[in-house]
Amino acid sequence: MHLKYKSIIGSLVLNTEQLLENCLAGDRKAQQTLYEQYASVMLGICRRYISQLQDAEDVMMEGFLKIFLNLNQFDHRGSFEGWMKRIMINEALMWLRKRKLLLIELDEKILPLEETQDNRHWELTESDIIPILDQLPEGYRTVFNLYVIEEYKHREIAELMGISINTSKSQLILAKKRMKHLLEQKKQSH
Amino acid sequence: MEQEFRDQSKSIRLTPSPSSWETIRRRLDEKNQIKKIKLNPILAIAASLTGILLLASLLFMNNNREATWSNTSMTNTTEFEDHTDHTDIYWQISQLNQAYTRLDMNLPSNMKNL
Repeated sequence: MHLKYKSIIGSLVLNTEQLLENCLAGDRKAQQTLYEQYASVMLGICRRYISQLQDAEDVMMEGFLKIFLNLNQFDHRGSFEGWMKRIMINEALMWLRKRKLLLIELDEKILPLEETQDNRHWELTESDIIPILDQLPEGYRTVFNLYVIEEYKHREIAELMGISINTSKSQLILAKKRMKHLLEQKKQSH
Repeated sequence: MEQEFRDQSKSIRLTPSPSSWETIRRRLDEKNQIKKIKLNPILAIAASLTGILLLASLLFMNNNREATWSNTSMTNTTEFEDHTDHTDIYWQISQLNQAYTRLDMNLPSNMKNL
């Protein structure tokens, strides 16, 4: 049973490698297969950053175009899905930056000094995530996505967004605060 | 809360519109065409550079040939001018004249006029 499982995984890896090789050679059918395999996950990622589905889809298409055109740059060290996700996240950030939606203005007076620990269980489902994220301002939402979901470090977030590490930290605390408030509202309404 | 968000976010799947693959495919085809068009100007530039080099080398060779010709003609002119130097001829005529005198012969009239 264990051997059978191993061989299935082995053949899947081999298939992905073959698929990538064909995509690299410009085989449109292979590219379509790859697209169909990952499009829904990638659109989910883009939609977490961008509030309009149509815009998120445009970003996803742009991301896939970059993936196919730069496939030779994938070094096969990490996971291919991880590489694609990074491209999608960068595309989404670029889209937000172009529309000046990542401009974060901070009032030093409202900077939270420390985060309060909250271990409540919110019983979230996947369908709850996007409607809640949609209610956050772009700055909060982006930092929250990058730190909490993508598990980036504050230093990386600061570099990606062109902000200071402290701004990234404070945006995250404010985002969590707002998020808890929204979750409490949601719980009360049920 | 963070862990809950992380876990639930990983399973978010959204179906793209049916036309999105066609859009990607069309744009990939366009990029391929642009690549081909971009390749042609490179060839054109290479060809024109070769042409310019060929023309320049032809002109250079032509100039060299003209310079050789002009040098040769200058040498010829100099040689001709040397020949037109009458001193030598006069000297030869005077030698002839002296020989004729010694032999009690008259120099031909056409040579006397020289």
